[in-house]
Amino acid sequence: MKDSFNPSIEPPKKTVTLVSSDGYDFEVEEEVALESQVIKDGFEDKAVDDREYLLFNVHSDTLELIIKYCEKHVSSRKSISAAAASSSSSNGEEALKEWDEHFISVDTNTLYDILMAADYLNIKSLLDLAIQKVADTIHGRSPEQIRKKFNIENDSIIDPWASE
Amino acid sequence: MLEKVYQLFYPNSFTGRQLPDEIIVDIFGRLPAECIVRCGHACKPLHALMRSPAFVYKHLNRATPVIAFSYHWKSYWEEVRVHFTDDLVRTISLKSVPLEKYYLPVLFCSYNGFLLLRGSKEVIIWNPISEQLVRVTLPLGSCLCGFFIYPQTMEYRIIHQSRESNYFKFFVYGLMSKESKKITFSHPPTTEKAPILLHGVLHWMVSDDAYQIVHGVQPDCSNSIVLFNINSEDFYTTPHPGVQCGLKKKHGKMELIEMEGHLCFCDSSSNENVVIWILEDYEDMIWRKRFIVMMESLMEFCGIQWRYGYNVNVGGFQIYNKELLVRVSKNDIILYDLQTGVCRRVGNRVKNDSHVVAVPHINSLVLDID
Repeated sequence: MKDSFNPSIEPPKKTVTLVSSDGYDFEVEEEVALESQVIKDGFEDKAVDDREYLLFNVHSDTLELIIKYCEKHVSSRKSISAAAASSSSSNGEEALKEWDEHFISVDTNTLYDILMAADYLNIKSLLDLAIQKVADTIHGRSPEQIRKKFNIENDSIIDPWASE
Repeated sequence: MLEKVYQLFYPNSFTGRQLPDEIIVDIFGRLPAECIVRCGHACKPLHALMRSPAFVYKHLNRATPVIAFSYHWKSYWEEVRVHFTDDLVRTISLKSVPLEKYYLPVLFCSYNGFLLLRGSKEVIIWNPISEQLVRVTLPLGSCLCGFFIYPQTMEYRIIHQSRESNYFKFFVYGLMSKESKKITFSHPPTTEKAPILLHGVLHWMVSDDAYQIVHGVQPDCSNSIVLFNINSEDFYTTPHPGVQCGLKKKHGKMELIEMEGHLCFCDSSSNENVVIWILEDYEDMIWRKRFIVMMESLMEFCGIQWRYGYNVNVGGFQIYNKELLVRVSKNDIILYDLQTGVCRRVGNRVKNDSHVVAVPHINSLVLDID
């Protein structure tokens, strides 16, 4: 198990601070914050001791969810690539999909908050997830469900000889 | 549903928030065309959106394909019903026109969100969602063989062919200009299956029977794939891969399909298996054998006993989401997973004397054919 994670030799994690619109500080690991394309874009130009981001459009309730999402995705990516490197079978991607599905099952207002925040922070996978959820909510069924169904209802195929 | 659609366009009454336009467009781009049309009647901003060509094509490109299929009976029947795997059933009612007895329009292909149906004297181009329908009357003795968009003018065009005493006559008809251009060529493409459009070229198998009627002999394997360049309007031919046929040509049991942007060749002439070749290098015509599907497993799934040496009726090959769509006998359609070999039935098996045609299709908002 040479690929397994060993905390003792890991360098101390670099962190950045995200400040929500209502003034709360969230200290997160650098790689988690970098899930946001907006943060990533200007990251290298910023001084190391000045890695603080004021997110005027994101409320602390939403920011907490967004961080949870990014942390999960960063850690899952690591375990998926570790599993691939040791060529052990893993259902990591399947499990992550399930986690996403559960994560995005929220009420409409929260969904809109996530949608707006994902757009503002430019987190592509989360934006995609939220948009698909809104579309599914409107339609009531996901394209995946439609695609899986192939046998149409019995009575819709009309046989002209049936009455004879 | 409509209420939820309204919420997208108008700010939330509590928070005053409004979603950015591009997100709204993205959301609607993921909804089935039918759903958009239904809501569009009652919601003005959505109605405007569904009319914009940019949105229509964005939607067409990202919509989930379905399978459109239709059972055809030989008896007189006044309408054609087309089924979709997303539970829609659409009927094209043909009561208003005199139809030739025993010859109802048959599903031919799906292209750019439209379905094409082929009648004995006409072509029907139909968007089942917007219910737009255009009929094109063909000259006597002419038969539809292809449909495409001419890239330079974005005009929809159809190709139909007829037999002359020692050659074949083709007409390229523009639906916008209403003009026909005549081209002649020696090798007739099959009219049984729509061509595969790739790299601006239409690809068909040759029709052995039609060739023989005109030339007295069967076409050589070296000219068994017929191509038509839609820009230069030239016909030419190329050989099929694999073992060449003997004296008795078997091009009728060979079909072309498209998989992941490549031209593929399905050979079921052995009656034992379906061999699928992929054209890996289009420029240098390098084919590679990719899949072999055992006929026995398809037959077994459909409850038909397979015997060595017996003629097997499978065809209508298409690729749908990386699975092979196959018609077994006349009226059973199944999806065969090329990786796992698992079969699934599409629709219901109808017991009587009907035959079925199935094509992958995208329900779209595309309008304005002509």
